[in-house]
Formats: sequence, structure tokens, C-alpha cells
Amino acid sequence: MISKIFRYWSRFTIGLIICSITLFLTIPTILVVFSSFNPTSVLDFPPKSISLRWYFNLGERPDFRLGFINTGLVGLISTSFSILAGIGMALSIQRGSFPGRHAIYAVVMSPLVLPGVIIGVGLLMVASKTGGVGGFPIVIVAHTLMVLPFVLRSILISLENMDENLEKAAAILGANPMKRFIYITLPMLRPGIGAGILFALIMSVNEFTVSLFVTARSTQTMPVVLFNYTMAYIDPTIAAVSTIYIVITIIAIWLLDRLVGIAKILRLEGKS
Amino acid sequence: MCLLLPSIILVALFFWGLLLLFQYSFRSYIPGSLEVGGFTFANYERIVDRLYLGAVWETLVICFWVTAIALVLGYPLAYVLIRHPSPLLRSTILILTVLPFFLGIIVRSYAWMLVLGSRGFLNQVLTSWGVIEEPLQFIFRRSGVILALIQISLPIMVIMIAAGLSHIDRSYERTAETLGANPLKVFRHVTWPLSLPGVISGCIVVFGWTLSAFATPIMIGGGKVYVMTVMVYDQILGSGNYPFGAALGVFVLIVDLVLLGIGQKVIKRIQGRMRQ
Repeated sequence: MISKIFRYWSRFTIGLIICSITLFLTIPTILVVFSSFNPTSVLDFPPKSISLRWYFNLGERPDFRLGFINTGLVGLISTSFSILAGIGMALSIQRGSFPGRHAIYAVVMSPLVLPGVIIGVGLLMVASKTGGVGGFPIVIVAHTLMVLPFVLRSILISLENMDENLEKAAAILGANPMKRFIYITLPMLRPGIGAGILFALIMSVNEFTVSLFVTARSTQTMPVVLFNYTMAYIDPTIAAVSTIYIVITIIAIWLLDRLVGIAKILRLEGKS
Repeated sequence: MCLLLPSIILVALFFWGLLLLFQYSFRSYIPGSLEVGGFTFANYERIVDRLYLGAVWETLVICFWVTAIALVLGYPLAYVLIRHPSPLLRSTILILTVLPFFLGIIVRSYAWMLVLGSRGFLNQVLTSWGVIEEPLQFIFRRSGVILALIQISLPIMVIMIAAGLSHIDRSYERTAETLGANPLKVFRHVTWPLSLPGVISGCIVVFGWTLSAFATPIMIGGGKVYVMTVMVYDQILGSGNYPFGAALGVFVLIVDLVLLGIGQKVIKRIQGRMRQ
């Protein structure tokens, strides 16, 4: 009897702990969404009425419009570059045997662990040496560098799961390397490339620290615009943008899960 | 080789940046100009100044608390995420953990400004429950920055620990159970030691991320919580003192690399001991 009560109690406490940790993780995000529909600057909780004024304010501000266009442009271009670089690199790492490939792999993955401020300052100095301060080229280089680790990982996962015999069969049947790549390898890599594209877009659209250093007023991406706005005003216009970000991110994660499985990307699947 | 060409160009630009950072850090600063003067050690001598050493200390204190608390909160969540029998609960936790991981740092730091502000969510809740009379001050304080950074680094901590847990061979635990160990003992003597590599890599990543964190300290701290990254930003984009900013940058980089190196050594040692 006592042990039964004890077990219920411990279950209850564990449940409570897990619930509070999850709440701690999610409440800020939920508040942002509420705040974006709140008619006044100060959030009343629970909200008394709903208003879209912050979303309208968004449309009226030219800096937000420019930030939106820049983010889209930089996101699309750096995603395409990183996919090209990622496919090439994944193939040469998995298939190649030349010396130094592991070193290049380590360097390409290093933006994951190095401080963004350092990468930003370094690239700013490269830009000032080449006369490209605040230009699109350096912004695109920066974003490609920052998203490449994620792209490379997803393509490598796909490549590791691929059956090499299919390529060998195609070779025996007389397909040249180009044909093998287009008709066999590329279609087989589709889930990895799809996941890579999504990853790259999510990361690029959200990239802030490096962008802060390499962008100028005319090339500012959305996170930099948001940052400058919070430094000047505190009103829920940011909440409106953030809510749009949250919705886009949820859709992207859902797609990512359908394509390759979130747990697989995060290496959460093992022995059971 | 030509497959690697795009990556090599990127890597080269990246290295050039790091090289320039290093080179600038040994040049003297000409006020009011982006041109730099001759060779000097003065920038490094300046780091050993109270204000800048204070920033190093501030950063390390924040990193310590964030890592410790994220570990305490992250472990149970990771454990449930991997071990709970209900798939529905597992995928709910996975989604709730992963979503903030993919949300940008600006959105998440802004969210914390809403929570922590003097008329923010936390103060409203605490006042309406009668816990406090006057609103608590979190914004511009170290406590606020730490609180926000814990939530921001929790997802990666959970993911790293969960990855470690998912690779544990369950038969060890079953053997211990068959031999009569109670659940607490199984956890203490089997599961916990086997999950240590995941725990340590989680701690290293979170420590490193907190060390590199910039948006959160500057948005929540408002420039009053003076950490190393904010210091670099101030010198480069604030005063335009590239040489000193570069020296501070090199310093941050070295601290970061030393920590990563120590962490790798510790993981290797633990894995070596596990094999024995």
C-alpha cells in the first residue's frame, strides 16, 4: 500500500517537473504571439481584445520592407550556394580518399562552435580589404558559411544511407559518370538535399550575429532590422514579425520531419 | 577535386578573416581612422585592465550558471524524451524542444524582454499572486541574462544528452535489474555513468554557446551586462578601434578553443575508462 502511494507520488512529481520545464521552454514564444495581437504596447494577460495594428505598422515601415526583401534574397542565394558546395563536399568526403579532406570537413563545421562575433569581425575585415564593406557578396559568403554545416550534415546522412550498388549497376550497364550522377545519385539524395534546403533557409533567415557585422543599411537582413528596432523602440511590431517567423518555422520543422525525420537529424535514434 | 572547389573558396575566405583578425590585433590604432599603424603589443597589454578582466569574469560566471542549470533541467527532459513508453508524449517533448532551437536568437531574446520587463509577464503574474509588491528588476541585470540564456540553451542540452542516452545498450540496465538493483541504483551505477559522454558534450556546447552569445546579453543586458562578445562589438562597431577589437576577439577565440580542447580530453578519458 505504502509503496503504491509512494509510486503515485513520485510519478506525480516527475510529471509536474517535466511539465514545468516544458512550460519554461514554451511560454516566452506563446507570449510573443499573444503580444502581437494585443492592442496596447504593454501586454495585458489574459488579453482583453484583439488588434492587427502591429501587423499594419509592419507594412508601413520601409526598413522592415527592405529587411524582408534582403532576407529573402540572401536566403535563397546562400541556400543555393550552400547546396552546391554541400553536395560536392559530401561526395568527396564519402567517396574520395585524398589527404586533408577531414581537415576541410572540420573547418567547414567550425562555425557551429566558433563565436559568431569572431566570424563576423573576420569577414568584416576581409570585406574592408577587398572594398566590399556592406555589400551583398560578403553577406552571401557569410550566410553560406553559417548554413553549410547543417546542409553538409543532412546530405551526408542521405549519402550514408544510399546503396552504392545502384551506381555500380548503372556503371556496368554503361552509364557515364555524369549520367550516373544525374539519374542515380541525385534522385537518391533528394531527401537529404530537401532537408538541407529547409535547414539552410531556416538558419539564414534567422542569422543575426555575423549579419550585424557584415551588413550595411542597404543590405540589412530582417534580424538586424529587428535588433536595431528594439534598440530604438519597444512596441509589439517586433512581436508581429516574430509571430510570422514562428509560423514559418513550425511549417519548416513539420516539412523537415516529413522529409527525413527530426530525430534522425539530431541523432536521437539508437538502440532500444 | 573540383567538387570541393566551392567549399575551398569559402574556407579560404574564412581563414583569411581569422588571419586578418590576428594580424590587426598586433597593429596600433590611429584614432579616427580605419587604417592601422605599426606593430605593437599594446592591445594585449590593454586587455589586462580591470574593466576587461571584469568582462572575462562576468562571462565565465554567466557561462557557469547557465551550463549548470541547463544540465539540471535538461537531463530529466532528455530522459523522458528517450525512455518514456508513450510515443505521443515523446514526440510532444521533441517538438516543444526543437521548435525554440530553430527560432532565431532575436525572436527568442525579444520574447524574454516581454517576460522579464518591469511590466512584463513574470512581474504581472508575481504581483497578481501577491508574491511581490514591487516589480523585480531583471532587465539590465545579470540574473535576467542568465534566465534567458538557460531557456535558449536548454534545447541543445536536451538534444545532446538525449543523443547520448539513445545510444546506451539497454541490456546493461536489464542485467543490473535482474541482479536485484533497485531503479535508483540502476540509474546511479549504470545509466548515469553511461550517459556521461552525452552530458559532457552537452555541457561543452552550452558553455561554448553561452560564451559566444551576443544578442541576448546585449538585448536583455542593454549594454550593462558587460560580457566579452559585447566588448568586442563595442570596440569594432562602436569605437571603430579595429586593432583592440581584434585583440579582444583573438582572446575570446583562445578561451573558446582551450575550453573545447579540455572538453574533448575529458570525453576521451571517460570513454577510455568505459571501455576498460
